[in-house]
Amino acid sequence: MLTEQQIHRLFQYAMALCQHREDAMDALQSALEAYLSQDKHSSAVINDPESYIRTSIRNRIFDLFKSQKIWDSETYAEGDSYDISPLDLEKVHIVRSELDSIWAQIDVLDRDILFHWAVLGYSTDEACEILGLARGTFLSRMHRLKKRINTDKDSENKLLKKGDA
Amino acid sequence: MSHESSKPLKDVIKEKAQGEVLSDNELARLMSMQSVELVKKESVSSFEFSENQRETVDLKLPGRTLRWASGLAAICVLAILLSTFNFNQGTSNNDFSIEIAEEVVKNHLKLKPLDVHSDNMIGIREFFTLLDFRPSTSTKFNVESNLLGGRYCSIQGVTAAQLRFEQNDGLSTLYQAPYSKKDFGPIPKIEQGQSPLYVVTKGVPVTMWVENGLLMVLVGR
Repeated sequence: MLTEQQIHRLFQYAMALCQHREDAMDALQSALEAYLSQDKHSSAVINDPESYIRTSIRNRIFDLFKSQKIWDSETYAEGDSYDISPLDLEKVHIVRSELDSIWAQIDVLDRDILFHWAVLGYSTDEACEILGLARGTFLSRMHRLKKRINTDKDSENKLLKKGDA
Repeated sequence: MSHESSKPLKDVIKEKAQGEVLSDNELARLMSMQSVELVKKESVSSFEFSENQRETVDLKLPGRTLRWASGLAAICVLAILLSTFNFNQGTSNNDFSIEIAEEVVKNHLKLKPLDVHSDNMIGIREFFTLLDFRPSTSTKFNVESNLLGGRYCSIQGVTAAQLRFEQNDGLSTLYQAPYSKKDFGPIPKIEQGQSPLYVVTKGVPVTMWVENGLLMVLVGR
């Protein structure tokens, strides 16, 4: 039986992916039902129910996105370069309002990896492996994300300077 | 213009993600889903255990047995078969009542519009003309107090009536359907002195009993 803390964490995961409370709740509830049904009827033992349900939530939300045709929802361009040089995310700093403004705009795959890294405590390499994403693709995405954060910071600085003048 | 200080990306993502929390009701609903399944699973496990037990006894029987040992084994097998039968009966009973409770609570929570508004059983009976039975009063629940009305519905595929009541602590629904053991499994008959069956599903109390030949299921307090 899952603990309250695990249920909360699964809900947070669903919210991170779909950014919509009712959809997140639906995905969590149906994934939990599927797990309970599987656990009851199958002889196979599910060793890590939380991870099992998390994958189920992910599949449901990705299916939902596909059906709603909101899959590649990135609003920023792919970029001229495909930068896959090493990047230490631990050194990236951001203010909360910046994250709030870009969080819903970045791709669901990015939010997925970032959640695994920041909330679940996996390294980015581990997160890529769990989610089946090539390391190069991930690095390229994160470079674009970092560029975007810096662009937003530059704009804000310019605005601040303009205000001071 | 922002006066926030920047923090490591990891901390800010964590803070944002963990700011999303379930309400107490949502959490209770999800926790109770697990509890219901756990009860079902434990019932099935008990049955499976007795099956395994029988296998173990069979395997341990020696190849060259004495007559008394054969007799003893036969008694053991018979006892285990009987207990298996009892477990099987228990599982079925449990499953029936849980399935009924889950179905009526789901309906109760949907709060679909009433087909008829009436604060007395005369109005209710005048409306429900398409049923194979007549909606009845009960000794366990005062149906004429705080009655709001009713609507057609079904329980386990059997056409039923649901009556809605407004109580001090919220709405209650009383379901009535013609009782048969085949459709609903064994349910306590209060006219035979049996106590109503009480379960809680999704945090909602459900009481069921048989009275006047009808299955009555009260959802809510």
